[in-house]
Amino acid sequence: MQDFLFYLFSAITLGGALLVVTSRNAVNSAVFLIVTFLGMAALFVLLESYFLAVLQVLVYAGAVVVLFLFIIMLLDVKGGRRRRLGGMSAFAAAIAGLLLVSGVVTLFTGIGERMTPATATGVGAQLHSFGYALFTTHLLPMQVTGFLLLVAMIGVIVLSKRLTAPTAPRGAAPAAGENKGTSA
Amino acid sequence: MIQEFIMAFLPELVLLAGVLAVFVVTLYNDRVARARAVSLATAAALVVSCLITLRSEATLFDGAYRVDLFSQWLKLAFGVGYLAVILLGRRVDDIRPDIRPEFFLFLGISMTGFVFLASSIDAITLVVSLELSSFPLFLLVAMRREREGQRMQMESAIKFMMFGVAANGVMLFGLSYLYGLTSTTSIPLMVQRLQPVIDGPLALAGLGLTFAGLYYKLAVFPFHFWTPDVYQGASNETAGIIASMPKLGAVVILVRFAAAATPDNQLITEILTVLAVASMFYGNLVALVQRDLKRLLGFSTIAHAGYTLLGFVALDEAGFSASLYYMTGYLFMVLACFVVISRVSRDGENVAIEDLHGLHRRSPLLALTMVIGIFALAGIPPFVGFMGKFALLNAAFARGHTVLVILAVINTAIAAYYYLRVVHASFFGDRDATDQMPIALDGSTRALCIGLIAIVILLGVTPAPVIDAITTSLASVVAVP
Repeated sequence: MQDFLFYLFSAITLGGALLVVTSRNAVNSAVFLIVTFLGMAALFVLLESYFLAVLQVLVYAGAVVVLFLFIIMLLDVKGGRRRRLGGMSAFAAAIAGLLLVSGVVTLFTGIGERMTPATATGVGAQLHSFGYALFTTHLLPMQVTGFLLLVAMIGVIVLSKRLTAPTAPRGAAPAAGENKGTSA
Repeated sequence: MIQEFIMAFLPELVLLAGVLAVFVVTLYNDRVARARAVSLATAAALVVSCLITLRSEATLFDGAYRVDLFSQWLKLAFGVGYLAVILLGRRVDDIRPDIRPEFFLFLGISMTGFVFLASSIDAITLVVSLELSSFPLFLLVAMRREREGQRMQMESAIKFMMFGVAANGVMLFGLSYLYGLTSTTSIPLMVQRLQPVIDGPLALAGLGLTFAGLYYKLAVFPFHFWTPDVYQGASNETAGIIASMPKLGAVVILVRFAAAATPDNQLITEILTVLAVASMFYGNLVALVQRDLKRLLGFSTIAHAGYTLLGFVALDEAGFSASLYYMTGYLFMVLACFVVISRVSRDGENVAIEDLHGLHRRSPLLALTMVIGIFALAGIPPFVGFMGKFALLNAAFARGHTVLVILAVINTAIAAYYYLRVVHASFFGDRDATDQMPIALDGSTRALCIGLIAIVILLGVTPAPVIDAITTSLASVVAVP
């Protein structure tokens, strides 16, 4: 039963991922991405990582994809023309693909016995252990992430600020006689 | 308990308080002067608090953060660098006038990242600190003022950011392999568990991808392509920051991970040798034909990254401490060069080698600083660059990498040509008397020049105690628990 479910959800995940790449319409791609994320959430449930599964649905299938859809619709992205690869590009792409596949195959054949198997219940598995790690080992990175968000916020303001008037705005250095009417 | 925590965490607390104070200051009037003054006070307090906590030892945040001699002297180096960079950015003329105070804010936040980096021994803490140190730098590049028909800084910023984010992604991907192999995020434990499986393809792929992200920061060939463009496009002060701090930070992380491999690991040694030789030759040969001084320093950075890898080829304590010593020295040599560039530059423009003509008459102190910085970069005794190169070559030679040592020496000779061109321009090159206005230096610039000269000479003439101290402090990093 477990095996059957694993293959079922893997097929859903992979099929969704394939459709994301092949859809002509960006909105369709984003919706298929939700299918992929839901399939992955189901796989996490099979691994008994219930909390991770919930997060996957809430954060990725919910918030992130909605953000994608928002941007796609805001920019009014049309399904682009189908681009044809030239002879050289197709050849190069084929070689790159072959190299990638052979690399992955070499990587994952015959290393099974040398690996330390990951424990079935990782940090993200249960809410309790996750919360514990978040407030002990990962307390500092969590706080630092707050600083990162501060940087991102101020950075957006700084870079998108327009300098419209020829006179420098209030509080800028008096040396600002140049840089008329340019924008970021 | 809380007292011990504060004693160990003092530099970080001081820096964070200072950065938040700068943030508040940027919200009010008369922002530039105050932001600079607060930053200056923060940097000075950081240096003092690092000196106070130099001997403290603690493991904080449940094993994610290690305070020991190694981390504390690195924080001290970062703190002194921070102080120098603030003095260097005297008026930050070349930043858009309305956002100048934010220059100091982003600089402070970036420094916080570097200080956290020095102590992080957990992969997640490390990655987050690395991001914190690099994101503000992306913004600093984009903040350069626009000129008529010139949007070079935006191109540079986009390149820097795209490559930077991609490199971070590659590094995270590599770390996920390492986590999968070892099922821990604690770096000392990870290194310990990696040692038996180091020859396996998964460990090699993980380490390789992790190192690729760091080589980007260090500008090792073939991860170098952003370097000259970003140096050229960024304002002089920003380029000075990008040229100095991230390199030392990258070396620190490399040391933490390289401890996983033993010196007789053939494959890793060979890969590092190839990278070192390629970086040295590429950087030095392309630098020969550069005219823009910052671009020249950009290519020389690539070559210096190659020299630094010599220490990692040796893969032992002597090599690691030589690399760290060299990079610490490099921080100050390159800052000395950038002080001169930003003062010689008219209105913040880029400086070509010809612009240095007659510098010894326009400002003797600047000319002296330039010559000492350049001589140190070229590896001429008694400056720190020479002792650093000597220690690196010695470490590689002791492990029997004779060919590599010979190639490195050849490169030093090639590099001497373009370094001496700069010296020639500052002292012997002459031009019509039209552009011979003396450069007036204020007190803080003088102090900065003299301070940097003193550090470059002091580190160079007393290598033994410095390297010994570094080696002692390395014991806790390299030794597997």
